[in-house]
Amino acid sequence: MINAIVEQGLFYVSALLAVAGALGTVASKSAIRSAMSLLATIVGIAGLYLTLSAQLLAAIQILVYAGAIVVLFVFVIMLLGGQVQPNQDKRTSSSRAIGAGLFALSAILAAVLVARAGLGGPHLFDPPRIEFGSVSELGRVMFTDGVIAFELIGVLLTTAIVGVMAVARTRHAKTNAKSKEVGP
Amino acid sequence: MTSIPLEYYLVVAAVIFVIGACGFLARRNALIVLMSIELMLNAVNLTLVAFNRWYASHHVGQMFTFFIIAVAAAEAAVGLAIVVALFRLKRTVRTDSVDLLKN
Repeated sequence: MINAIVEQGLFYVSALLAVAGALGTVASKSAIRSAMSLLATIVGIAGLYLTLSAQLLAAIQILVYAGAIVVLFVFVIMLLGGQVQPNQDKRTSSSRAIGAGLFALSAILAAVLVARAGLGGPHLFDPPRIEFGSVSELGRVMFTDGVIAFELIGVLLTTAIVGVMAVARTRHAKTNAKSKEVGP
Repeated sequence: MTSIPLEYYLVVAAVIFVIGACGFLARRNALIVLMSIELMLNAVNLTLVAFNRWYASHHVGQMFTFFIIAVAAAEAAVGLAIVVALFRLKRTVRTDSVDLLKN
């Protein structure tokens, strides 16, 4: 009984954090506020993983997203300057209205389709096996069924690192020299 | 840990995905567009983990989520590198002022 109350509390707090963070990410004027809202979403989704007894994925979510990706975003915002840019939106009000109308139409269509699908009552989960979501189980699957994908991910990450260095490095020797002169 | 039905997770994931899709389409700051992509990837991950919890006899969904997280990290790194290179070139990160291939 107390378990169910704790689980529901964790679910609702995490879901609220995730949805509110998503709204903040999309609606914030400044990029740094968006990044912080993205952090809230990521922490919320990690909490939802915990209620789904995916403990390893919750830890990886915090490590990779909050520890690496959001920090990368914050670094780039710092490099580019976090100033709020003036609104220079060139879209006309009629095109905005058409977009909003199409969005509302597709939302209604999706709601009707889901309602007609006849999914039946709420699907409650069975209690999980004790080792479900543990490091050893997931690791065993990853190194047996998914070993080719695992190796390919290694290749992909190496390629991405090389590509990032190729794209983001300075190509002009002059700007390098200038920035050295400016330094204290 | 069995008092929350599967549908609740799917609804939360759908809401986050739609918010991310709207941000991707409507925002003009390239950084926020990239963050919206991360939101959508997270929503898909949540769906996969929820369905894997439903079919709890194997771990394929969680494994897939693991790989998606790795691909998302690579995607964020490459996207941010492109944003930095773009800022060097145009002094802006607004996506509607990037029209190098027009004309």
